[in-house]
Amino acid sequence: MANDLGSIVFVVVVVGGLGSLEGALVASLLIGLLTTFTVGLDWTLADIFGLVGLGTWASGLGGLFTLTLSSLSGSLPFLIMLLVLLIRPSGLFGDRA
Amino acid sequence: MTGRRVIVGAVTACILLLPFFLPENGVTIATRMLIAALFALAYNLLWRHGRLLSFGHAVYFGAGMFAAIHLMRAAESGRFTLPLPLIPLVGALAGALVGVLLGFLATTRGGTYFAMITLATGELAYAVGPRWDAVFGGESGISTMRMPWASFDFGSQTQVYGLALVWFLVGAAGLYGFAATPLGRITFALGENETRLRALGYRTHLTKTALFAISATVAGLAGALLAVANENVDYGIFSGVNSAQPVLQTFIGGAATFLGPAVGAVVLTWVGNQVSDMTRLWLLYQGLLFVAVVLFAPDGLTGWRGGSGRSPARLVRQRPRVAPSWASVVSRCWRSLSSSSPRPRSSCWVKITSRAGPAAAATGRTCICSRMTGRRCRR
Repeated sequence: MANDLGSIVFVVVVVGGLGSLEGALVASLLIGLLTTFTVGLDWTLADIFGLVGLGTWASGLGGLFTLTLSSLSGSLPFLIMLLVLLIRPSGLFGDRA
Repeated sequence: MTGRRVIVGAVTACILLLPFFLPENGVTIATRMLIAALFALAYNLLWRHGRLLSFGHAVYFGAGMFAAIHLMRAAESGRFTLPLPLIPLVGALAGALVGVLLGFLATTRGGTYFAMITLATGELAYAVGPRWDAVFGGESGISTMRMPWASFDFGSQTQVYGLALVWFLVGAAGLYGFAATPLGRITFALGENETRLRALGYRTHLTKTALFAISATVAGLAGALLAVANENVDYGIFSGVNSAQPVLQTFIGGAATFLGPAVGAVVLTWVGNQVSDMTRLWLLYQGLLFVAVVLFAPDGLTGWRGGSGRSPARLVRQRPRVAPSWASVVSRCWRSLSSSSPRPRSSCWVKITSRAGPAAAATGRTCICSRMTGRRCRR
């Protein structure tokens, strides 16, 4: 359990904002709900290409294009942490830059 | 001093040549040691120069490994043949590409945020790895064979050791030589005070990206060597444990010296190999060793020598003394440039140098270099 949660807890604190209690609560709910609900979504990058009529071409490429969102739900927290660190390093509710 | 260098060189040469006379399993361990040492040296480039603490270096190591294994497979099936001794070079190239991309992102932030971004990229690679079969081979990974080249069939571990030794020497010499280049000198200043470097007119983000890319290149080289030695690789290489290895090796061996991380890597690889035969709790003993080193010998195993004064503990002690001398160096430069101007107040030296333009920045460069080499600034 500690092994599974250890890194996620760290992600939650960073996303919420270091030193912010409200941020930790909001971020933990956000990440918890997101990872849970994305398990049921089998969206792929090919689907996005499908919107502009390139669906069959993209799914023919395979690899990253046919990777479903549900299979990536475990790595979503880290993707979110990466984006937060790059765009707003102080986190959602943090005030330190 | 030169006499001591000759002795150190001779001892090192003996140690590096010894495995050619060892039995097969000894050579295998020696190859692992060399690869771990090269990886740790590459890792410490970031820390020793730029004071950047990366927690995701397994990504670049793994990039080199997968690039090498795909090329080896291509050679095995006859689609595209590159001589085996050159394959590590492609691994280094892969490490460099990934390093430039992720390094550019990671170095937009400094300090703790840099460390967290590298951690996030490492975890992302570990999460994507098992799901992208075409590149990472899924759970089972990718296996291949070493193809013969010229009169070498690379069937014995001794020949693999020879190949690893050559590339280790190339990589280590490159890292050692880099410290003497103008860019290498500037990256030391980057670690000491980035704000002042930026005030002198340097594009610190690009400098950091370059430093990161060089570190990733050598990490990729080390990864490719492991792919050649193992003939097998799976996504597990991206795991946090592998990112933590060079960190532990660097700080146990001694981060202040150039060869400290290599010593740490050799010792930990050897002890790990011996202890794992006796107990499954090797990681526990590694952790205890790390705690002991941090508590009782913060300069690492090579720290008894006195070090170069750049260890974290010593830097903290020195800080009050370093800062004023920096300011005095810059203000001295300013005075030498414009002897007719009134004596500047030392508290506003940053504004002064930025107002003075490229001429002052150029003088600032020579000052930084002279500070690094320990000489006094020219008046």
